[in-house]
Amino acid sequence: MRENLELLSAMVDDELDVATQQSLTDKLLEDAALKGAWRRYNLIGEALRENYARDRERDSRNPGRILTPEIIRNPRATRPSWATRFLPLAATVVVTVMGTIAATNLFQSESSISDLPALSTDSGSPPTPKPESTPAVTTNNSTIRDTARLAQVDTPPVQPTVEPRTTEMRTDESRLAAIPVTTVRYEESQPMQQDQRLDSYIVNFNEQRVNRGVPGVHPYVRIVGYNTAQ
Amino acid sequence: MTQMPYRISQRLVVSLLISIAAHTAVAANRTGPHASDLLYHMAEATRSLHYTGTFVYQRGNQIDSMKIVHRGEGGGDDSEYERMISLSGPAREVIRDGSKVVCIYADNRSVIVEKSPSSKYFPLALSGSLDSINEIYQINVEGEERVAGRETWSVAIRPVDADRYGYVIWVDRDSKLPLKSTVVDHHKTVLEQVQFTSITVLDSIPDDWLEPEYSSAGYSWYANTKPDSENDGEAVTMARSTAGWTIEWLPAGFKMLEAHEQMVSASRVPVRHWVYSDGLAMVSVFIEKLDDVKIPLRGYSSRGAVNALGRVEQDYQVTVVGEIPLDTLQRIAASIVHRSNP
Repeated sequence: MRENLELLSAMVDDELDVATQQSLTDKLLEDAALKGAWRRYNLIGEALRENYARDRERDSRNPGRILTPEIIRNPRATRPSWATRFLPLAATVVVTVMGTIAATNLFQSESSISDLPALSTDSGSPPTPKPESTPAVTTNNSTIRDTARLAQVDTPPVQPTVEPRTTEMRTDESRLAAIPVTTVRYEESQPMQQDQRLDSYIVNFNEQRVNRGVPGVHPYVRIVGYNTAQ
Repeated sequence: MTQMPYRISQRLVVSLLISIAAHTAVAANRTGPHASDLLYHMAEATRSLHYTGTFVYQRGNQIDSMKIVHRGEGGGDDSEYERMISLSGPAREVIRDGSKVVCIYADNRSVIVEKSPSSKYFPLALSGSLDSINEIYQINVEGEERVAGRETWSVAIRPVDADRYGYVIWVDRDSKLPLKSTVVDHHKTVLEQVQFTSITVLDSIPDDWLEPEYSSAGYSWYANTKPDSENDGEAVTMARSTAGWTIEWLPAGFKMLEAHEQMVSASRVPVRHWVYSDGLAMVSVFIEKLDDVKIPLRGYSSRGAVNALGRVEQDYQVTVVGEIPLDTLQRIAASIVHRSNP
């Protein structure tokens, strides 16, 4: 009887295989005591599920609340289902896959930029041995010449085989360190976009220019004012 | 009868002298100070004054408004602090504190941190170099104009050839700050323009005015705070930085100001950085060894008057950035040669 009750409890929790369920159902039809136990287990299960639903609703209204004693007393009721437990993992996987697809598309679209006449389209992996002629440049008669045409035309980056390098921001040297990120990460799997890579050189150029007091347009307007999508 | 012509001619001469003196005074007033003096005071004011203001940045048909907060040298410590933030267009912010530059790209949730040069340079405009560039540029005070409600002198800096750009700068007569600046090509076409709509010179700048607007929490950071001298434990000399490399062509008047190795956030390896200038226009050449991961940059990009060109020389990435015409930049980049056995 005790074994049957344990099996019955397992069946209420939907933890039995089909063959055992069939066998237990046959016994249930013949055994009145077992049938009574089955009714009680179901009532208890419904009560727990209702409590759980109420708690979930209350949690959503007040996410910062402390766990109530009844939930602690009934850990099974608080145990999330497999779907709930693995939802974050599944979401992470989906986001990763989507990110990979997006990155692949990005590089494909960048490769298509190489068709522009202003670009050097040589995509040979080994660099050219002799100073290549610089890319043919078409003079633009327009007064505005802000179209980004610097392209990465080679193959997409190889997945990292080395440990990601992490550099630490010095957090005590100035007020800029108050920016609430203390660890600077520079990972192979997240290479700089070409525009930002270019900005890195432009910032270093700007610093030379600013520090020498060269008159003219303030050079940092070209960092603040330019959209990478341009 | 005979004295009448004498009196007439006497009055005529006096009138002519008065007229000439008056015209001379007016002309002198219009011409204002000497152009070199004005640029000298402008460079000094730009570094030392505390000010805040909003300005518009125009290139072609595109106009964006930005705000700037500037704490001059001596405002708390010897460093110059500056914060520039976009008020329209992409959400961006650049903060400089004398030791580093933080570029916050709120529009794509990323941050670039670059170090400022450790050595402070004597400003070109203060170093007497303006006198040495008279063969390359014609510098004149052209007139006066109101900008942002203030009286300004306009100074035109026009190159004698097409290898560099020209500038027209409107300098505040009172503060000597540049209130309007344009970059023009050899055909006097305006490539880009910055013009203040309001500006206030202050006695001091509160610290919180220099705090970043964007939290940058959760952003991707690209930074390298590794000291440049840690590459091999010693500072890289100019000779070593340029060893094995030659630039076979530069525009007239361009000279090397500096050559060193440094770390930049765009590269994992030390980058050779050479700086050239004719006294006003400036060009940076970056050379770094390509690795298996890095994708070479090939082609060019323009950001207003700043052009950048990337090419590969043997197994090195060569990136040339300059506020010069693209044709000039292209010629410079094409002339950079690496000799394997120097």
